[in-house]
Amino acid sequence: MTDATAVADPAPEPPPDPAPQAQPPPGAEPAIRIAGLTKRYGSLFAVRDLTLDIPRGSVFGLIGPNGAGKTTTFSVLASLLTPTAGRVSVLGYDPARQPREVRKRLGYMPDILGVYDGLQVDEYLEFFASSYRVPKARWGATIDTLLELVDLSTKRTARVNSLSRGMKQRLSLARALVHDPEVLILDEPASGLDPRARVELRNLLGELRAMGKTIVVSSHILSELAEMCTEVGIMEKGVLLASGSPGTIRDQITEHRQINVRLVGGEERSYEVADDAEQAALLRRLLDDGEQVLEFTEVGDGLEDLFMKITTGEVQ
Amino acid sequence: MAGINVNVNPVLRREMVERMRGGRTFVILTAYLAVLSLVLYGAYEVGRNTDDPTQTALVGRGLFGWLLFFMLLLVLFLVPGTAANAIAGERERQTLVPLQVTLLSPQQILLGKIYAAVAFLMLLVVATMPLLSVSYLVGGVTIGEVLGGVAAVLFVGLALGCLSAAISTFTKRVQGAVVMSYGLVLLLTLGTLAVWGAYAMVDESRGVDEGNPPSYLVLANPLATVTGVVGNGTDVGGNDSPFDWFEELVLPDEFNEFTGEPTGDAANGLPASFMWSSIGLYAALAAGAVALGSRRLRTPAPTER
Repeated sequence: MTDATAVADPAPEPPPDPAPQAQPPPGAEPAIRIAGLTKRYGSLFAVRDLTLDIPRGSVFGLIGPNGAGKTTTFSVLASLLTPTAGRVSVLGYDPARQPREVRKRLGYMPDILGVYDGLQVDEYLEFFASSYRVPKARWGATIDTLLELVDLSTKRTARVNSLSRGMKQRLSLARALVHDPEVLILDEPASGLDPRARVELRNLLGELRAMGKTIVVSSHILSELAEMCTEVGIMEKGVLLASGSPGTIRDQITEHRQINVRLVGGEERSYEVADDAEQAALLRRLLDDGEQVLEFTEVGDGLEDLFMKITTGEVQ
Repeated sequence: MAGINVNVNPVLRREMVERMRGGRTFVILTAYLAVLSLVLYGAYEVGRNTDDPTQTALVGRGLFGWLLFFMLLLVLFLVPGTAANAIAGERERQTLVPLQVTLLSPQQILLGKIYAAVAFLMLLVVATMPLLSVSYLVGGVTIGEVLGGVAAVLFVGLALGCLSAAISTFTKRVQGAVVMSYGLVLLLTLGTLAVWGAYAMVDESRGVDEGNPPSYLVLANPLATVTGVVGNGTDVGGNDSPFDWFEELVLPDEFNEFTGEPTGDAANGLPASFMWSSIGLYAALAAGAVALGSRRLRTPAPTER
């Protein structure tokens, strides 16, 4: 490890990994398993050799610039597109061969919002409840629960075309939940939302995760993904460049961690360590030397910094 | 929408709820009935210039013929425009993908749209029954002919609805689907007559004198299908409707050399085989269109649908 000169303005702390919720039993099959997924249109590879496991009960964020292959990946998972090569499994079912089984268990919210303007909110959800073969006797209770979950109870009899964009996004999420799926695929759910609406959506996703659902979400707002995701994947030009928790990705691409230390009296120092052992040894050494340590903080790249380091910014 | 406890296609139910809201359906229905009422009045005024009670039946038959013809024209005008919106409209509104990831099959989605178009068509037809009953009351048509004519118009509308909806599955935009659907209608109505006319001209130029060109050349013409059901070959004169003109056009000129009266098909109208062949052709086209359109909508697919 090396000593560095004291820094006047320490780098912002990385957002903490979200607190783990109820975890599936160890060894449980991943909710989504992707092995060598490739989707090609002529000479263009929309997705190239993607391999990824998404654990049950996790919130997985897929990040990438436009044209990275996120929506194509989601379309394959949602049984809309057939892969050119590779194997995909959603809760043990292949979306290409068993689309009905996947659709019973998966809710998909595409990035472009389309609703039936001529319907009321409750009629809209009734239509999709009917389309998902939800028993009619359960429609009332299901719609009540969903509207309360997405905070649209007061808009039950309002026309869909009278809703704001944020309300339509929440209604679209309610539509994806109408058949109580185990897995949710959300493509840019916060797109076009104002800050308050984004916070509300983030809280809503937290509630869904607490209900045990597996959520796969894509977004361009990296700070939000960092706050709500247990794991992330970074894609560019159809290729998965890195995946894992933000901390794991950081360790993969940076050789050293930066440790900021603040001592009594205001002195601030910065050190570089290679791993947990060196970090622990540094703290022990400082205390053994009689230093009065007020703060001992790992400073790492945020998700945005990681994204900028990993990707090249080129699009296909 | 949950009040009716019947297992109805969800797409059909949704379409009917949306269609019956707002004033558009009311406006279309009113305009449709206004046009047909004018046709009825015009046909009656033209045909009623006689005190001969034996001619009253001809007046009634003329009323029925013209009313049914304009019903057919309005169906040819309204159905393609409505059905062409079926899938292309869902694509434009970005509502097709949420439908495709439900448990509805491609056939259910497409048929729900077609049923909705046909339901609208049936609304128009039922609304026309009081006007048609006037021709029945005047006389000259049987109740079987009235019901048969209405059924034939409905059948043609259903078949065109299936074809237009299938076209809609191949286009990204409603405008393209509408243009192609109306193009198909023109091909079936005027195109078949053009082929028939060209055949006749070629025959004449070669000096062939074998009567009219074969009637199967106009088998796909919607007018032919309805004429096959309601035509009776009688040389009515004076109160001829377009169905009678069509019969005179396609039937061979066969006349009794002594009396000058039409004989054979000219007397009896288009043979039943023609009617059933035309119905069979439209049924096959409609079934093929639904099969093709369903296949087009099927997911997962190699490309976005």
